[in-house]
Amino acid sequence: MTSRTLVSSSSRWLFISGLTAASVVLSARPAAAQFLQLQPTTISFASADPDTVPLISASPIRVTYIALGQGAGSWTMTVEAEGQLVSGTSTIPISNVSWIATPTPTFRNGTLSTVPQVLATGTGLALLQSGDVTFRFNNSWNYNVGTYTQTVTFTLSSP
Amino acid sequence: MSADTRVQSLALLVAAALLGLASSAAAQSRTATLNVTINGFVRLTLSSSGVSFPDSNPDLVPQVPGTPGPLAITVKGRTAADANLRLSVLASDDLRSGVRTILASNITWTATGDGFVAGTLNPTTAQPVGSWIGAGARSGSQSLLFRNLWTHPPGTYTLTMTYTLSSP
Repeated sequence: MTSRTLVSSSSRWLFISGLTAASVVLSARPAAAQFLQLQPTTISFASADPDTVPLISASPIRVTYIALGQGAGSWTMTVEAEGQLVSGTSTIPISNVSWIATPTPTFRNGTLSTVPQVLATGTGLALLQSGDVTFRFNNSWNYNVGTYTQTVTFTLSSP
Repeated sequence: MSADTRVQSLALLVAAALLGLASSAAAQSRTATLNVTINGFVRLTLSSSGVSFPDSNPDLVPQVPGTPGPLAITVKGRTAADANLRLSVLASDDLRSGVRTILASNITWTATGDGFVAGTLNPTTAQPVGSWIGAGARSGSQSLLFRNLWTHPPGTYTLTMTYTLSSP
């Protein structure tokens, strides 16, 4: 097998010829391709004394992704809550959940909202990259007893 | 094929395989579940652990204020949404100085702060100091007063007041 590869450092477009073992052909103007994986998929905050633990951290989530912007353009990863934290009739505003993320500057810190918030951005190809997202919860005496839940959606997209 | 070329080829094969995992869709989403556990928990803070009533002329000071001044009280509690949070105080006994006694009911208090109430000390039944509904942190003060009478025998009288914060 002979292979010839060329990687353009400016545009990161890939040209592959002569690969007999691979079925993927990357054209000069690739379409968007995305792969996104979260591990774990549960973010848990244990109960704690608000006076001694005003900010509760959950275990980090590893975000693994492959992103290829449309035409080597930009891609964006967002995170969005589907609503407020709910336990029966009690609610806690979702804005009490924030996150810190690495590595920067690809990933950025933020606060959860019911509208998408940018978690990471990039351009061109990001091949099997990963980031760590640690969610944090503003602890308070004002929360009623309960187990509150909500779904958080991570979306990787290119325009 | 040189070693470098083989490494590049292997990397591209891996890349190709990985991109094979990728969707050609312009967006891909994954969900995670957020869980927050809030357990029941209460905390009571008093600004002082002792109150004294200095000797005074009953004609001039019929109600002796306690020193060092009003007792600052902070009540914090996490309860169910419609549950009560209650603060009460119970005297250990009447005021005692050896075999001499003064009724605990000679100690009264006024209160400031939402949910805090005035009352009279009692050695048999806990008396309400405040009540609230639902979780939160509340602050108030309690000003203790001693009813000063000529009939009180001389002595140094003491009792213990126990404050209890509870939620069902």
